[in-house]
Amino acid sequence: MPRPDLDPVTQFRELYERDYVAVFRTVYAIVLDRGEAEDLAQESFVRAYRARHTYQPSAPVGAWLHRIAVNLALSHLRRRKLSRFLPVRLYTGPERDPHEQSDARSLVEQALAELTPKLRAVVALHYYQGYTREEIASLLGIPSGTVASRMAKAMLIMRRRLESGGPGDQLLEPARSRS
Amino acid sequence: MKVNFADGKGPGDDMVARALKTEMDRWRPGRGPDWTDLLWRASRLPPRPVVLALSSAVLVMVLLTAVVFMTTVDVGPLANNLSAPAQLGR
Repeated sequence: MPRPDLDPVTQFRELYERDYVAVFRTVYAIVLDRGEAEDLAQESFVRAYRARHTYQPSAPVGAWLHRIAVNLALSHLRRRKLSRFLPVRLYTGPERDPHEQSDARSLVEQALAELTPKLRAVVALHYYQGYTREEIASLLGIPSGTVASRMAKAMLIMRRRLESGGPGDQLLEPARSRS
Repeated sequence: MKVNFADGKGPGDDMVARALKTEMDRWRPGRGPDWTDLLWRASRLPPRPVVLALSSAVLVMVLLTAVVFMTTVDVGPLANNLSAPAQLGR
C-alpha cells in the first residue's frame, strides 16, 4: 500500500522519522560505509529541512528526498576521490584495511562494491526503492535511456559477481545445484 | 568459492533483485534519526540567500580591491602602457 505523502513544510519531523532509514539505505548502497552513510543521510535531511519551503509537490516527497541524498552521496565520493590527488592530505577519512573490510562484507555488498557509484545509485533506487526508469531519470536529471543502460550494466556485473560467489554467502543458497 | 546454478546460467535479474532487497532490508543505521541534531545542524549556517549575498559582496570587494591596486601600481590590462614603437616615435 503506498504511503501517504507528507507536507515537508508542516510535517517535516514526521517525514524525517518515517523516511530516515530508507534514505540511509540508499546512501549506504552508494558509499558502502556505515559511518559516512549515517552522516550523509542526516546531512541530506538537514539540506531538505533548509529547503523545505522550495519543495514543489509535482513529484513525490520521497523522490525529492532521494534526489538530495543521492546528489550529496555522489558529490561526497567525488570529493573523496579528488582528495587523494591533493599534495597535502586534507581529507582524513576512515582508514581501513581493504582485505578486512572485504571479508566483513556480504556477497551482495561485494557485488555492489564492484559497481561505480552512479550504477549503485540506480540499482538502489530501482531494485530497492522501487522507482521506475522514468522517475529515476527525472530524479537524477539524466535521460531515461541512460538509466536503462546503467541498470543493465549493473545487473550484468552483479550477476557475474554473485555467480562467482564468495565466503559467507547465504542469499543464493536455494538456487545452487546439489551436485 | 564458485557457485554452480541449477540451470547453468547463473542468477537471473529477479534473483539478484531479491538478494539485494533482502540485504538492504538488513541495513540499519547505528544512530538516528536524531531530530535535535538535525535542528542544531540546520541552525549552524545562515539561510541560503544570506550566504549568496555575502559571497557576492566578498567577490565584488575582491575585484574592486584588485582594480584599485593594479591601477595604483600601474600594472595589468588597465595600465597606461605605451608600446615600444610609440615610444621610439617620440
